[in-house]
Amino acid sequence: MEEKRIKVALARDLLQKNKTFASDLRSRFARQGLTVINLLGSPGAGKTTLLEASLPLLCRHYRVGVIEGDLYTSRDAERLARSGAAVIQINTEGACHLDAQLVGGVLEELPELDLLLIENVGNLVCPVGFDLGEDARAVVLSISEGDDKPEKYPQTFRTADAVILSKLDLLPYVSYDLPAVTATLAQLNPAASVIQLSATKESGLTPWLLWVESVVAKKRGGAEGCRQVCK
Amino acid sequence: MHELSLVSALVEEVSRDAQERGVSRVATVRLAVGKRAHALPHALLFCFDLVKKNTILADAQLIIEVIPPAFHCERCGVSEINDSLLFDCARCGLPAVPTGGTELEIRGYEGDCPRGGKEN
Repeated sequence: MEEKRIKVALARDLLQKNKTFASDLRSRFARQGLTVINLLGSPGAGKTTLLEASLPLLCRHYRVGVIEGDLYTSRDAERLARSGAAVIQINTEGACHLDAQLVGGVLEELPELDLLLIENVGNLVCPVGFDLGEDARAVVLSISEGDDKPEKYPQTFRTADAVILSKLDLLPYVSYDLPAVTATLAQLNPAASVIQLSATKESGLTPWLLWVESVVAKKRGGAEGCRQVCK
Repeated sequence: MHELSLVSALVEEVSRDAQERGVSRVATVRLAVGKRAHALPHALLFCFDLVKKNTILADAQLIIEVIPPAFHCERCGVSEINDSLLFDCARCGLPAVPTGGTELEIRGYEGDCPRGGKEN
């Protein structure tokens, strides 16, 4: 029989598979009453240092777990394990982002938790399109990366619920227009909380902890901001 | 290189759909990629040539349509297409809502069926 050429029209989202996995994760997190925060940022922005500074405080009030996404090594997981949080390392071995399937694959290894912080692979581009079933997304942007990054990576900053301007203690030493950055962020994403801090100097951590707490409170549907972490 | 994950999803999805319709060989695949979708067309094409090997898409050509960013301003009611990085309205300068330019969508494909096949 003669071959016949056919035309097929589709309208299929390429990210649909991840979206389906993420939606399953979201239902699972909801059943468990688990709050999940996805932490994004460039390599060296200070994501792990921020977690190092805040985990001891968060662990006083919540059962906290961390998923560490890195291409190679378990260095960050080892750094964080000292805090008392349950830490799992995912090595993507070359892949530039975590996806919902990878996260789903390690959940069994974590104990029962109130709060799960997922530190994504250091990258301001690729993790953006991959929903991990999180309740909120925070982007860490350090002063030393330069003040042009929100304009260069608009999609990343548009999808953030909070933008953490880190390494604020370096401000006197670098050329950085802080008011211009906050103005750009207000234009790109007026709803995002903008938090300025220095994790190594442990200054400005309170607004960040309050933001984490507000995400937990919203998930629990309870009284907003019971302010227990910062007491 | 998240383009590799995206292209793997494309080959998987089209292979599955084509097999269900009795297609033995896919000739072309059309993909819409928004300019703000964080995926580079040349990287997608490069990955496609790697991933399609030993599948029914082995001889297929990937045709990419780049979709420009589009915005709608709720204040002015203006819808426009522009290349603004900041998603601001050209008329009032305030933030506008993106309505296009972030697509990553398989629009369709053409393929050969040895025993007739089912178009849609």
